[in-house]
Amino acid sequence: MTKISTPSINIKHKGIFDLSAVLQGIKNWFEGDEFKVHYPAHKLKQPAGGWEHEMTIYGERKMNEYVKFTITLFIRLYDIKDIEVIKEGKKVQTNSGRITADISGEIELDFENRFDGSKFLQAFQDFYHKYIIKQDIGDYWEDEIMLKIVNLGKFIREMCQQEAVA
Amino acid sequence: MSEKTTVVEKEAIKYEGLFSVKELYQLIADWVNSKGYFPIEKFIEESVEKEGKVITAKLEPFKKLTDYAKAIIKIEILISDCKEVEVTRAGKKQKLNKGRVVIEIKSVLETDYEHRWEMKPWLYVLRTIFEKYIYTPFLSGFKNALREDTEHLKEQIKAFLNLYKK
Repeated sequence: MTKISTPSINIKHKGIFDLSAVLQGIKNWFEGDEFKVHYPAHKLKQPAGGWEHEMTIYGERKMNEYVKFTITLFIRLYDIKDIEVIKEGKKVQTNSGRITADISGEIELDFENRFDGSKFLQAFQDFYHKYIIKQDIGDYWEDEIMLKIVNLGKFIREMCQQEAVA
Repeated sequence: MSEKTTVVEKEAIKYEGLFSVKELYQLIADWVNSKGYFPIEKFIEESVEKEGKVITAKLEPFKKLTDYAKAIIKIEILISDCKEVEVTRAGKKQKLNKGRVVIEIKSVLETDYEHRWEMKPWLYVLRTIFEKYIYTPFLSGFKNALREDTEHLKEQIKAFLNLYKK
């Protein structure tokens, strides 16, 4: 099995946002893109300044029989308070606070370990990666996962109603 | 390690007054796409402060020129004291932003980004010879193209901000 990591992106937001909509939106984003969502870690604290939420979410998607994408999102929400705002003349329950999100990705090649049997197979796999599917990995799969990471970041920023979203 | 050569030194574009955050961000995103760069948003922070919104963004769009060379444009955007205002332009009411903008742009040419020429000392020596005597015309071509792209982006941003000047 060979793993290729991608550069990560970091998002910060301070202001008003709908916490449950953001979290549900992230889950929907993963599922909408056919990723299987996992929640391996989740912490909840309630200090005086507002409560804190820390969670790791990762989505896995088998792109074909050989390539698997994993996108990991580490999200930290802090100074979270429940507030009420008036939107279009109506009172709406929402939240204020801070969000930091780190999104990173990984491409797993041969995730079913088919080439792990012998040294010959491993050498063959090396040849396969270096000379046969090199362009596919570098120009297609790496770009594909990066685009998904960028889109997830954009989606989170849209959910937080940030201005700088293209 | 890959080698990074600064092609265009960091230069700041400063502006204070009316503009549209969304349109400015869209302009940069469109430019990045139209020139075939891969959009990487390394870091984005948006916070609501007393004086107005503060937006910090670090973008690093890149373009793989060959298997050996990669062009990177580093864009740092700082928008401060950003407030939403309503203005009348050409008889129409329009929602714009008012604040301070500082955009710093620098471009870098990265060579051997796949770290292929650094495995053994003799390969490293060979790479130096290769870059100095064989690849020089290609590298200077890449540098010129990157310089042109960077200047074009700067001109586009300046022209965009000039539109809002009274």
